[in-house]
Amino acid sequence: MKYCLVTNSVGHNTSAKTDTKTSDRRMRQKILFLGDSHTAVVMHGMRKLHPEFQILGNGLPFGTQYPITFHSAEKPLVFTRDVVNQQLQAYLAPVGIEVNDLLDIEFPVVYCLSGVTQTSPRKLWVRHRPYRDETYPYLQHISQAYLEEALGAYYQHLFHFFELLTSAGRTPVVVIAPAPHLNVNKSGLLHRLVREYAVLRLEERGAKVVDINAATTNEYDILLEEFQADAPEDCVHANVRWGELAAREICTLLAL
Amino acid sequence: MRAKSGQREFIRLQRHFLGEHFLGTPYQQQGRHQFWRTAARGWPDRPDLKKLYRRKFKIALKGGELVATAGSCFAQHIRRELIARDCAFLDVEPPMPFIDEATQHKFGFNLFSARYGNIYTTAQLRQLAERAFAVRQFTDTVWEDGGRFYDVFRPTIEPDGFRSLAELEDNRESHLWSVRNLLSRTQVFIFTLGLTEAWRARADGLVYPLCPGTTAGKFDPERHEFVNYTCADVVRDFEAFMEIVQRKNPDIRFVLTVSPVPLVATATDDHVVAATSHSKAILRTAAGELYNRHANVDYFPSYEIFTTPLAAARFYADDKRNPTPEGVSLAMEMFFAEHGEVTDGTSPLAPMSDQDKAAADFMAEAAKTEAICDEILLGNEQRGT
Repeated sequence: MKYCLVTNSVGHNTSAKTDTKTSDRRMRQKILFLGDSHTAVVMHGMRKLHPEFQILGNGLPFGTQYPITFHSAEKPLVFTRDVVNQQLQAYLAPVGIEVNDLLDIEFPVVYCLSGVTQTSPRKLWVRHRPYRDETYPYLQHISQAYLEEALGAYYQHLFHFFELLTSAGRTPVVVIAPAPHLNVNKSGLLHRLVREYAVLRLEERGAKVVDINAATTNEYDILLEEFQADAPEDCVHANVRWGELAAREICTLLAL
Repeated sequence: MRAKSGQREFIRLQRHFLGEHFLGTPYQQQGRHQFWRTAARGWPDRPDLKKLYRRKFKIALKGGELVATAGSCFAQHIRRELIARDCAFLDVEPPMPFIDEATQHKFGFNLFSARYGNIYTTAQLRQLAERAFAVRQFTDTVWEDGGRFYDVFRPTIEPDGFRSLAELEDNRESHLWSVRNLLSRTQVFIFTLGLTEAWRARADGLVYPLCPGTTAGKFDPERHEFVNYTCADVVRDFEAFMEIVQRKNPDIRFVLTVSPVPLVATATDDHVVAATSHSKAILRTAAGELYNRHANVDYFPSYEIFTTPLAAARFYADDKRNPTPEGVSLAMEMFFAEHGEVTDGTSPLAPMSDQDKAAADFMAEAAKTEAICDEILLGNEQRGT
């Protein structure tokens, strides 16, 4: 006997009727979205642009808990291939996709990379800045070289994940998180320096990078109001317009 | 204790009743620890070093008094011990979190109370305060080498130099702000006197932490000169430092100690052993003089603990230069015991208690990361034997 399991776009069972045939669904373009909370608006943008695509992963947190462990000579990588595989299996099994290894994934992988305003990086920016701010003389200046040591340790787990993909010929797309909404302690400048570092290192590792910050920020590298999240208490996320812009860039990069 | 006071009372009565006929000497009033024969009894395992350090003033190490350190590489050991014992150690330029210790050290973090690197001479210390409080300006304070920029006051603080002059200047400004903050706030400042030999600029007397050309810059005999500070120089420079700091922080107290670490090299014509002896003798004399002159200056005998024949060089590592964790631990035991930490009351050289062993184990662990001695860069390791 043959059963047909119907799921909605986030992989949940649905009783809603659909006229998509099983064979058509198999042919649908799949894209796996992973990363942090910024993924939501990008996925939304992608669905709007391409409702026919099957958006997978539901923007679930993937690897976002690892940077805080800071890879170093004393601390081994914890976001290992085994851990990656386990998480992918957990995310994709509900939508009927079996993954034994990350290289089984033949559809595009889009990753939304945290910026400076997200939860864990905040621990890095309590007092150190790679610039001077006369308004806040107590902020401690650090050199670009030291900043890179810190960021290298911070992002290394995720870089490792991207390297696993690129070394096997896969090309992940990495979306750089939106800029902050408020320019406290020149956080816009900080975000720019961090993303410049991330872009450089990601491209070195063969990832494709979507960085729409230049087009969505003001002269202080702060997210333009028109792209800020609609909820007034949300001073971290971008809105769906930003997500659409990012989605367009992804499509351009992937020739979709 | 009772016997000693009885002896003193007896001498006092003798002096009182016999007057000019009293035949005793002041030595009769001295304690056992003040005679070599009794102090050395038990050598080499348990000589009596109990009263080698007697504090001039109390430091509430566990009571939250802010303590800062600076000086030669021996000061790094003091910092580690203060932190290990939960003292209120003041670090005004802490590192970013989570980065491994070796990298932090490479960038001058977690070594002293600020990223000033090793401060070997009192002239350098005075210069730091003068710069921090804008008392004095210097010219020619940046070395450029292959497109990288080095702060002449801290040439090893960025392992590959700064990427631009602007970055260097921003970092320096931030550092000096932090040093001002440090010197204005700390309640106790522990300084380890390291060297009398230094190099300075002929033009304006800028004192370099290292000979130009060692890590960066280029040595030029027309512009750079050697100086071997005298005792008067050392005292003068430290007093000038005190004066600057006390204007902002009148209640600050200082603890001086002399590094027991011998010179890695001398620029004089002397043998390095003789040069070390000369240098340390001056520093020890200067420290004693400062101790005698100022109520807020204490002296802690690190140098004596390591170098006394009673210790038979047992507190030096195989190279006979670096202190062993055991020696550092003993020295700090003595320091902490005198400032109110509970000890078992036995000789510091007595067999170690479990607590002491735990402390020694910690130090052994900490010592795996050796003290960062910029001075070592002068070494001739590559010359062969």
